[in-house]
Amino acid sequence: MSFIEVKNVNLDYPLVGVSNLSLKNRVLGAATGGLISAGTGIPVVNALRNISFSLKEGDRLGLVGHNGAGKSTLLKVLAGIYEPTVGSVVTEGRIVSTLNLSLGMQEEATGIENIIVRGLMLGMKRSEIEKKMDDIAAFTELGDYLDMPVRIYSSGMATRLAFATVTAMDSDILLMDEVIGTGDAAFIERAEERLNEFINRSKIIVLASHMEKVIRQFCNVALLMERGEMVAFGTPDEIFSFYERRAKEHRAKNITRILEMLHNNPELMNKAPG
Amino acid sequence: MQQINSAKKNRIFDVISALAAYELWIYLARQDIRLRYRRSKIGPFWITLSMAIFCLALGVVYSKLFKMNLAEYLPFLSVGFVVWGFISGLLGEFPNLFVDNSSYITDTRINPIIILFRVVARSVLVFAHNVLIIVGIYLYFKIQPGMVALLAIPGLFLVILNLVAVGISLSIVGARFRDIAPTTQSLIQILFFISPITWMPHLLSADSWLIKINPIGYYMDLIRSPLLGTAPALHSWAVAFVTLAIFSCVAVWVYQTKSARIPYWV
Repeated sequence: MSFIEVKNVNLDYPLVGVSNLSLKNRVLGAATGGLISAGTGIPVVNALRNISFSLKEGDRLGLVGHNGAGKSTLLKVLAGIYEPTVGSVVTEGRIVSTLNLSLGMQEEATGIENIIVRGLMLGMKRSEIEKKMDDIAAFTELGDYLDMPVRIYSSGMATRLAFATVTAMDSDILLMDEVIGTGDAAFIERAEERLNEFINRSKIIVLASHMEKVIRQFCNVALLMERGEMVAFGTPDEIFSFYERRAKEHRAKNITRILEMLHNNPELMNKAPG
Repeated sequence: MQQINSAKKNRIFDVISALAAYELWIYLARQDIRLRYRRSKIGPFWITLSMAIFCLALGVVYSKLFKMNLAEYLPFLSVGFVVWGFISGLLGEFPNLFVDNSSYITDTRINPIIILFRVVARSVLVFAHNVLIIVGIYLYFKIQPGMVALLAIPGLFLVILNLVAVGISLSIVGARFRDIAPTTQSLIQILFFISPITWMPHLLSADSWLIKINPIGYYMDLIRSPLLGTAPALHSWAVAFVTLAIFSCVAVWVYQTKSARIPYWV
């Protein structure tokens, strides 16, 4: 049985090599992204705070939130790249992440060699990869190009190779940061079919996306994040109506704030363009 | 089941799981060498050829400087230089190891030890190519080191373990502090001149502290002496084991406390 169990996860992201945040940046930075707390030492972003949820087989979780809300960071914690500062993540099952489609792709290596490396990095054995090779090769339609270095591929060909390799993997838990795709119009239909099959084959998926349509298409639960915190957890319908309501309130609040500011500082009016 | 949490866990198992992933790092190491020389006619033997030319040139000049017989000096220098090439090459790569492989570390879950094993395996492969130089020396100077040469194998193994232990600490510290890489480079240059590679250890008096405190001298003895037909000194083994114990303790501590920070640093 595959599952994901996230308990009270907090993640402080140290900003090494970034010092003396200006006051302006601190104030502006607070509008998006996690809270930056600059103590005397290394500044730290509280990228995730008090995240808890659990997923079982069949769950398709969509992560919703604006840029810097912590969606990608949470995916990286689930992938085991970042270790939570507080709390725990327990997972069961092979995790495949598509956070970087062309990960480990070497320009000088041939298509075949790149497929092998990618498979090995996902923890597959050579024999397992050889079995998948025909399927991957057929799907890429690259033919003899597979024996040539990726350096001579067009960018579309390289994407095909990466896409075909990743979607051939058997994953129990699939982590995606935006839906992967290929730019090739003639290829798109087949790619979509393969992608759907790939997603449906996975027992659990966690997908971060800015596109409501995508979340509604693939997910049966959704998690709204804001500044590294869980704001709401529910069905995609619930989450999106909540999200919209909140966005409206937020806009209204911003307008009120600007009007107040103009009221208190009338001289600003003269500086406004037009 | 995989558990990722903030609680202290034992990361020693990373070494075991990295060993189990031997297919990955051996494949990557071999590919590194293949790719570097893919379009060249003699391929990886460029490494061997350039080192052979260097040894020959330096051997001829220095044997005159030290007023030594070429048949005695050239084998000493060549074997020593091949071994030094292995040690210095690895030491030089460690500080930037994770920085150079940042895409693996920030975009996928990978055991850092696997990345380390990849460069060690690559260096061993390069070393294996350079062994040809030693064979050439044997043939030209009609040297028959005998069975004692086999002692070079455990010696090499012990030196590799030392380098792996140093590598774990050096690569992690190097990821955090970017001044470590250039510092290491200049230290390596100094080490080359203060270690008995171009000059014979007996040129210095036996109790010279320069010889005594530099572990490279003992490592050289472990590999070079058997290849030249004499067993390494017992204290060379002892020193290599002691340094291994020290470096391992440091490595375990650094890895245990800091390895989870690597993704934030690179």
